[in-house]
Amino acid sequence: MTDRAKEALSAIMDGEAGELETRRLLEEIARNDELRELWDRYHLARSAVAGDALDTTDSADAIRRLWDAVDAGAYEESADTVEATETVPGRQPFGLRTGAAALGIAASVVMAVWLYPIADSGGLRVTADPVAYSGTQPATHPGIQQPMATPASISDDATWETLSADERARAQAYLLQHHQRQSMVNRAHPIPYAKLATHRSQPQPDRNE
Amino acid sequence: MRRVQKGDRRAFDLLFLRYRHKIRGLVGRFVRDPVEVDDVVQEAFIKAYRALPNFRGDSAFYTWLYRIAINASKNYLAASGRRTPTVDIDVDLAEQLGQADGTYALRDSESPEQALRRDELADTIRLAIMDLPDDLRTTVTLREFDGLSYRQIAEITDCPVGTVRSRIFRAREAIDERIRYLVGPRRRQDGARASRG
Repeated sequence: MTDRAKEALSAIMDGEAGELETRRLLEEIARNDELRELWDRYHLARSAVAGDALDTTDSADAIRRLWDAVDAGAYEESADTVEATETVPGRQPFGLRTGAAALGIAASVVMAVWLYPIADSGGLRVTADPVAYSGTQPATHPGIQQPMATPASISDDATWETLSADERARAQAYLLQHHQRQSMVNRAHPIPYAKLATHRSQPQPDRNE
Repeated sequence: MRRVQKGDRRAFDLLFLRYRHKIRGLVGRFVRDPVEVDDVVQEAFIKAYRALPNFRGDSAFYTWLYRIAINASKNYLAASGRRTPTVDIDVDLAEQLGQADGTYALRDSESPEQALRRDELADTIRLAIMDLPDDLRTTVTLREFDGLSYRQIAEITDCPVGTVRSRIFRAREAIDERIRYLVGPRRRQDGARASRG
């Protein structure tokens, strides 16, 4: 083992060697026990200086164990799951799960737009005012309530009556925004958000009328 | 990379040799038990090997491998019911972590024998560095303790990059002379057994 090879080894360890030099020397390390032991010792010294736990495993042993595990079929399902993690720096991963979630939300929005006129004519309906289920009605799910909650009954709420028109408008806007965010954060329930989103485009009845 | 993608195990050995220690250091920031660190490192490399035919090369291999290792660490922590890191950690930052904040994740799970051995080794290295000639000591300190690149060290010490490379190598050789007897093959195997027992 020449000093030249050892110097290259030291430079590779610091990521300061050229690609060609690195490749050539790694092949040499794989063949040459003495060089591989030096490589391991250089790293061991670095671990000790850094205060890390010492890596006492010989690289050759580690390689043997790796191939034993591969031959034994370890992590055979990994190819598909790992593929989704390939990203470039600075880009957010858009894997299968996020793609499916986005598609699910999009489908929910389409369904809500399509079904809204049917739902509004009788069954479950989205509350006209999020305040209605925040204190006066036991809602089964945020954003959805039974048809009995009418603007007239809500207007009986004493607290609501003490608010000015401007405060009511702000409270409505705030609560609508709150529920939209809550629905977005909770990915398991995208439909309330979709319904809220579609409902928002409809003219809202004035509570005080 | 193409050789590995065609199933050349020998070529993958080279990637393993090149990155194993680096990935081990990274995993060690998350997983405390040294034996489990080895298992997670192995898992990361196996997953990488199996997924390599699908590696598109959009990112650097190490960045890709780094992500696999981070995910393997998180999976391990989740499986063992421990808190997983909640933020993405930059590659360089992850490597600096531990030294930078003064917390050494692995220490509290080491056996007394392992801790003693590490301290013995660290003391020997410190003494070896103290005994180095000034130029070698300055250069290797800037590299190992401050993490500077060869170019940065060259600017600070006002010498060519080639000289920096040579000085760091000579410093490492001097240190290796002192620690070789501590970490001979026989002793390392004993250490490996101890860490598994």
